[in-house]
Amino acid sequence: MNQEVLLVEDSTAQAAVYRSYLEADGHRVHAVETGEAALEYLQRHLPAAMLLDLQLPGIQGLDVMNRLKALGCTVPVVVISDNGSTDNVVEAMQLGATDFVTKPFGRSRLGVTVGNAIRQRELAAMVATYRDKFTRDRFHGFIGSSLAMQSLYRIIESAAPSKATVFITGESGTGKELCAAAIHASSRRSDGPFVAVNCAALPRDLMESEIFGHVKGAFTGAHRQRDGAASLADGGTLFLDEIGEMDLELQSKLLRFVQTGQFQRVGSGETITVDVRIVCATNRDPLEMVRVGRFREDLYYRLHVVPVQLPPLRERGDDVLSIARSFLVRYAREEDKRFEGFTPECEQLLAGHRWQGNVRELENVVRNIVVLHDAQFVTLSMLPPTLLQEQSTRLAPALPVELREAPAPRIDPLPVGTAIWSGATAPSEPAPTLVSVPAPAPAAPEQTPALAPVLSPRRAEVIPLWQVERDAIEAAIASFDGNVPRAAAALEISPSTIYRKRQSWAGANQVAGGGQVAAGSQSVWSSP
Amino acid sequence: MQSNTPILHRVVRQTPRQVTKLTQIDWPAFCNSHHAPPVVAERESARLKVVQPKSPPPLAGNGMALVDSAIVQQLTRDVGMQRLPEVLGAFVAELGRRIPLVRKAIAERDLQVLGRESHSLKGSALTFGAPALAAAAREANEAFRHGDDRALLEASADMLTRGPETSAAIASLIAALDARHAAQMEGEAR
Repeated sequence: MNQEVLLVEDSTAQAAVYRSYLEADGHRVHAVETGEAALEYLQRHLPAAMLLDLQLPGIQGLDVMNRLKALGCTVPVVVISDNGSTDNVVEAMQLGATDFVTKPFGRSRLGVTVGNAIRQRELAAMVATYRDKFTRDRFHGFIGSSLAMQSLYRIIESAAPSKATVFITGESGTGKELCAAAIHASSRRSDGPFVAVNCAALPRDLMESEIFGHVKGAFTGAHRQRDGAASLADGGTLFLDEIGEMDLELQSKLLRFVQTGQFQRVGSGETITVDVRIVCATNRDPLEMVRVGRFREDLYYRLHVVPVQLPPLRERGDDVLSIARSFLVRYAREEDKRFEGFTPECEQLLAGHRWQGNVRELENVVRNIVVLHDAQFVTLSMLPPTLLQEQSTRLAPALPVELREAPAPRIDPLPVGTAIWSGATAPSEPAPTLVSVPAPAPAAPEQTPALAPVLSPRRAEVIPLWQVERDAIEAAIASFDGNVPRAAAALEISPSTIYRKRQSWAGANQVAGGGQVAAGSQSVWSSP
Repeated sequence: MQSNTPILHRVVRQTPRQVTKLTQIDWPAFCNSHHAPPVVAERESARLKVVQPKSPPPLAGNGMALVDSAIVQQLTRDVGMQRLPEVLGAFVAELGRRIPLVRKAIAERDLQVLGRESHSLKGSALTFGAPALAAAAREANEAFRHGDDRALLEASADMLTRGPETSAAIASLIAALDARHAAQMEGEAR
C-alpha cells in the first residue's frame, strides 16, 4: 500500500504499537505527540490518513479537528478513543472524522479502519476528478452544465487533437462559431491562426477570392495581390460558416482544396499548398441539402468526418438561467446598471420559454431588459411581452378538462395582409406588424397558406426556416409586381440578398428538377 | 517483584527440522483463534511454540493479574516476535517516565496532571495487557472526570504501586525473550 499515515499519539508506547501495526500493513508512518505538531505537519504534507488520539497534551484532538475543518483540510481522520469518551467521538464524527477505534484494539481492527479511510478518500478524489472533468459549467466560450453540453464538451475535446474535418450543425444562435473556436483552442494548432469566413455574407464572385485570394489584375478592382482565408489560416484552422450557402461551382474548388490542401489564387496558375484544418458549419440539414442538390455529395462526405450537433437552448435545461445570469452581469456592467439577478418567477418563465432564436434571442432579451430598466432584480414586468404571452399560452392547459378537450376553433390560413408576428401584445390585442404580407399576388396564391402552420398555435407541421424565408420573399416580390428593390425595401433587406437567394434557390430547383425550374417557382418569380 | 519471577509463557525456539514438521499444524487453532493471521505474523508463529506456563501468572497486590496472557499473545501475533521486545521496552520506558510524574502530582495535589496521566496509563496498560495497572488508572481517571478528588488521590496511589510491579513483570518478559533470542542465535551458530 505504501501510503503515509500521520500518527498523533502522546503515549510513546502506544505509538510504537500502532506504528508496528501500520508498518506491517505496508504504510509509512510519521508520528507526532501533540496536536500542534500535527497541524504544523499538515501545513506541508497531506498524508493518506491521520490516526488521532482525542486526549492530547496542549491542543486536544477535537480542537485539531476543528482547525482542520476551518482550513478545509481533506485528510481522512480516524480518531482513537477509549470507552469513556463516547461524546467526544460523536463530536469528532460531526466534525468530519471518517471513523474511530476504541482502545485497546488489535492490528486487524486498525488495518481495516485505516484502509477504509484511505479508500474512502481515494474514491472521493476519483469522484471529484470525474465531476471536474464531466460536469463543467464552462468550456472555452460556452456556458452550461447540462448533459447535452457535457456531451458536446467531450466531443470537442476528443475531436480537437485530430486534423479531421469537423462538420458543425445546429440551429441559428446555438454557438457554431463558438464551437469552432473551441475546437481550435483545444487543438495543437491553437498557436496558429483561426480564420472564419461566412459563406453567406459575400456575393458568389467575391467568395472565391475571399477564400483563396487573388493576384493583382485578376478582376476589376484587384489593384494588388491579396491572400485569402486559406492562406491566412496556414498552420491553423479555417472555419467556413454557413457552408450550405456556398455556390455549387465554388464547392468543387473547395473539394479539391479539402482533398489536397492545394489551391490557386484567383487569376493565378500558381499552386499553393497549405496546412489547414477545416471546420465548417450550417444551420440546415446537410443531407437534405445534398438530396435537393444544393450541396455536392462528394464534398459532403469529405467534410462530414466528425459531425458535431449543437443542442438548441430549449434542450439545455437550466443552462438558460446560467447564460441569462452571465449576460445580465456582463450587460449591467457595460450599461452601468444595478442588476444582480432575476426574481424566481422571472427565472421560471425564462427556463420555460422555447427560445426559437436560441442564445442569441436570450442575449437580446437580457440586453433589452438592461438597457430599458434599472433595478436590483429583473422582474416579470421588465420581460418583453412576447415571453409573457407565451407564458399565458402555456397556462392554457390549466383550464378545466372539459374546456381543454373542446374542439379547437379552426384556424384558417392567415389572410393576406394580416400581421404574421404578434409582436409585443397579447393575442387578443391588435398586433403590431413587424413583417406584413402585402396585397395578394395573383400568381402566387398558394404561397401564403404555407405560412399558416408556422403561425398556428397547434403547429401541426413545422416548416423549415429557409422555406418560410423563401415564401415570405416570394410573396413580397409578387406583391410588388416583381420589383425586387421595392420588395427588398419592404422586407428591410438588401436587394442583393434577394438576388443571391433567388440564384441559390433556382440552382437547387434546377438540380432537383433535372435542370427544369420548378413549377411553383415559375409562378412566383418574375424578371427582376 | 523479583527479577526471576516466572514469565507468563515459555517461548521455545524450534530447530529448523522441527519447523518443517510444524507445517502440518492447524495454525488458526494454534494461534488462539486468530483466524486470519497476517503473513508476517504467521511466519513468526511458525518459529515459535507457545506452551502453557507451569506456574500461575504473577499477581498484583490486589490479586489481579499483572499481565494478561491473552493480550500479550495477541500483541505477539500482531507486531511479530522481532518487534515485541521493542514495543514492550517502549512501555517500560513510558512507565519509567510517568510513574515519577504521578508521584510528584500526588505530592503536589496536582489533580490535572493526575487526570492526564491516569488517562495515558489506562490506555497503555490496556494495550499491553496490564490489567492491574489498567484498573487503577481507570479508577483514577473516572474519579477525575467526576471531580472526586479523594478517590482520585487514592486510585493514583494505587497506580504508584501497580506501575512498578507491572514494569518489573514486563521487564522480566523482555529479559526472557532476550535470553531465548540469544539461545536461538547460539543454536544457529552451532
